[in-house]
Amino acid sequence: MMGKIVWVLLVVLLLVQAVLATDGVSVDRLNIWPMPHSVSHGQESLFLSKDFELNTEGTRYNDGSGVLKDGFSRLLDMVLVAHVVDGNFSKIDTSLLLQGLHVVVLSADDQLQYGIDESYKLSVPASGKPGYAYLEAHTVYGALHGFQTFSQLCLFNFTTRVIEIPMVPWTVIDQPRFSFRGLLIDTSRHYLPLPVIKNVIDSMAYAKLNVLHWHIVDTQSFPLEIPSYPKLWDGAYSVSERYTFADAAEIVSYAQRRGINVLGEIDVPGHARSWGIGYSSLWPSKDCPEPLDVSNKFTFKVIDGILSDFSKIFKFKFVHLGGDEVNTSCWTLTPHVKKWLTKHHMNESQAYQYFVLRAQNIALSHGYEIVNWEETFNNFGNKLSRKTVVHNWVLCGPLVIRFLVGSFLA
Amino acid sequence: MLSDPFKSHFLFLILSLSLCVSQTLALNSVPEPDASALTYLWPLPSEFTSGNRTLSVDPDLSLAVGGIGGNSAIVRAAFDRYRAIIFKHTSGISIFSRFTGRSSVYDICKLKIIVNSNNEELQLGVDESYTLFVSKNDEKSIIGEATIEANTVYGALRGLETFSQLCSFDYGTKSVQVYKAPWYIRDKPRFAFRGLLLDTSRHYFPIDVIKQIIESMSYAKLNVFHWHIIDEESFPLEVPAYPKLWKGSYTKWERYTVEDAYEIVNFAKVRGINVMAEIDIPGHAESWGTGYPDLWPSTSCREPLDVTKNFTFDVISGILTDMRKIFPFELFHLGGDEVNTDCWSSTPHVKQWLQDRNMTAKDAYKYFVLKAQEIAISKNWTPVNWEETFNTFAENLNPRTVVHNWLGAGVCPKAVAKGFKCIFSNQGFWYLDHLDVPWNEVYTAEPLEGINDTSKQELVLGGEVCMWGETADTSDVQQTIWPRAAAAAERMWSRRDAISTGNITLTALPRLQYFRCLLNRRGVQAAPVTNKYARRPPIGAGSCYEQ
Repeated sequence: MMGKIVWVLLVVLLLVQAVLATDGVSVDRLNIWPMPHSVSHGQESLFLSKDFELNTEGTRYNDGSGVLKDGFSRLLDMVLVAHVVDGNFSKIDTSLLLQGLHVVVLSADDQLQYGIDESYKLSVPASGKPGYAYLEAHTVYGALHGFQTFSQLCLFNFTTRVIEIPMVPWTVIDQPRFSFRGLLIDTSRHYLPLPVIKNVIDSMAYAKLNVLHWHIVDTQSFPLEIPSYPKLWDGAYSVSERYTFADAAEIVSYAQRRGINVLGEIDVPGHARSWGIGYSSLWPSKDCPEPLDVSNKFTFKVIDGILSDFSKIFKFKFVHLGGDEVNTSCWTLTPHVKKWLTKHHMNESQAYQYFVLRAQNIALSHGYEIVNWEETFNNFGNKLSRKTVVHNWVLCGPLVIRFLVGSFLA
Repeated sequence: MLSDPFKSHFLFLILSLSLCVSQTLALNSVPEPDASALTYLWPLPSEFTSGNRTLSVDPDLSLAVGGIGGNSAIVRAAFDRYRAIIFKHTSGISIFSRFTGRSSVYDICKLKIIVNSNNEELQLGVDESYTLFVSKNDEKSIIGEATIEANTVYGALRGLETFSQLCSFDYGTKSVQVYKAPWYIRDKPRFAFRGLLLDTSRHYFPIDVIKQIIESMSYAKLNVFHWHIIDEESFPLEVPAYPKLWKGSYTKWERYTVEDAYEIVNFAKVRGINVMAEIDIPGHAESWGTGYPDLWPSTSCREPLDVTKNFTFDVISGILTDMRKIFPFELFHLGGDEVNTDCWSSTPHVKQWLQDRNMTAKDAYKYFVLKAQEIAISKNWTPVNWEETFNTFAENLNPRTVVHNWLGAGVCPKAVAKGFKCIFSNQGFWYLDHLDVPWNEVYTAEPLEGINDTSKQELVLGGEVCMWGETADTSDVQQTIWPRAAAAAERMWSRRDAISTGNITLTALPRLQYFRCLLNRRGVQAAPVTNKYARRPPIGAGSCYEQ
């Protein structure tokens, strides 16, 4: 028995060693991430020519905004950043040189929205008479994904000192499984400088993620400028830890040019204490500042102002209204809020529902569809706007699943 | 004959007469940068005065050059880099001003850079001094300007860095402001050698990451990138003379071509940073034998390099010949630390060789180091060696040797007493992989500790913080380097008397916290200053300025 285990261990060790050994690291396997829908490849190699170019003959997309052109230039940067390419191209057999990438985009529309077609087909020819690699996509954003995949096929060849594409010919047919592939960043608990957010966006594109969920504001700080209510960003940590409205527009545009939507969030009413630094009447009271004062009309005016300003820059069809972790004790402890509850025959959980639904209506009036954290659904799922997207986060979302199953059976 | 930019500014002289050091150095201790009256500079300039006016800077700030060296590509490229840093938030504003033709509303529309020499050779001790004046336009000129004057382009680069630190974005007016103007700054470094070591053998760092590190060094006015390229673990660099050497790289992708190395040297040069390359012989060189097993005493006992073979020294000579073409800096590091000679005594052919020559293993260590020194000197290099070489056979070392301290205190005093030059890197304070050393211990470590004789003090070239790579790779290297490297950077740049008195918790800590946020704003992953262990992430939510 023991001997058998030792033997197994030995085999495992040998295998591990084979994989780790310097010469054992092989390019002869798929190193594309995320794995495309379908991939096939050969065993030959091509090299990128010195003036590897973008060819858009036959495309229906005029690229007036330069999304494709810039994407191509980033593709070259990604491929060239690792090493100085100084190979002697005249020594390389021209039948091994890839002249460029021929990109055909079928749709003229470059509006980025939820559910757009992100599919693409990429083929890299065999050696012999290679000419151009061919990338076809329905939208320019599908083509950008194709660029990412193409860049992952490229390697610096230390012998020829040029960029090599091993394992040609390649045929990649790809499309995402889900339309919403997000990453949340939280700029309230810590301010993230503009160049850092841009780095995050760049890296998202490498992994073909397509939604930057910007959790801008929370209890701790309010870094974003809201022109309608200019004192809100008094809630920033310091004078410098802020985003101007133009900064936010810049982030949206930077992301859009990489095929990434920005989902803005205000997390109401439970994660919003910082709002009251500039407008203290948003707090039930100074001593009990959270959740936002449900009894004050001004609260909803401010939400309306924020979402109105949001709608000028955050063009994604969804806005995130939070709604999680609402501890309503400040509402019952604060006399004027308590009085308001009594007058309107509401208990605190009804007031929570009232708040969320009213905020939903404001968002709808600005043309947004709504995302809410799952507590809203768990507590009053039947009342939510049918346009609500339920955002799971608590464990594996057993309640959500139960509801879906239940409603399906009913 | 260079004209002295300091003398040419009689205005500055008058002002500097009234300079009250105690007043100007007593920087406000308010930890928040909220008070617009505050401007933090890191490292502290050697002399400066400020006022109480706020000046706005035109987002279309233009460059005017003067002096025989002003029209330099290095200066122009640096101006463009710093413009991008200074105006990070203001895209859109300048379009507005262009439309309305209101550019004249700004106080500073032009940055004038005067460089009094067109010699762009970067070497140890190059003149990095500069003066920087920022004042509002007076009646005589319509356009307000800031002026940097320096003797070399490298001084101008330091002045540009300081200028960029004077500029802050004001969220109220949405323009860039210089607070506490007018500014009169006259600055120069205390030490000529202000280094950072990066170890690309324990982990490979991609070219782009090395460039980011070099770029961030320039923010703290560090000026030597000590590239510990090779060690036991891997040999990432291409050596054309011995092309199998980089078979010792971790993988075929974790390598630097000769052209990559050139690129790094040039990237550093235009930022005023020298690259000091190292081969750490004979004790940290096992990876050499992957391509040439003859360099090992035997395949089962691989280190130190085989002292008996001519081939060993042929390879060293070949490497140094190839490296000489890449690295123009006058210093070259030959390592020489931690040599365990057991393999020499236990490998029969080496043991025989020692007996034939009546040598002990220690004699052979000396023989090896001195022979390598000769090779380096023959290539017109000044050898740098880790301190064990000095500790073991100081009297035999080439007198030009620069002794690189690391083991502990007291080595530089001994080295300079014997007439050697010295670099301070006491591991108790300046080894960045020692995560338990707090910022204040890094800050107060003094390269001239124990050296009182001025003529001996001059032999201390400066110091170096060391980013050894066993526990740092691309994922955490910048937060391990920063902000503690900045603490050492001020120690090496600023006047000793200005930074060694008073309560540093009040005089230095708020500025360092501010500088760490400045690094963050520029996208450098600097860790919070006062965390118990270096590079730890923040423990809770909060402002950058209060971490």
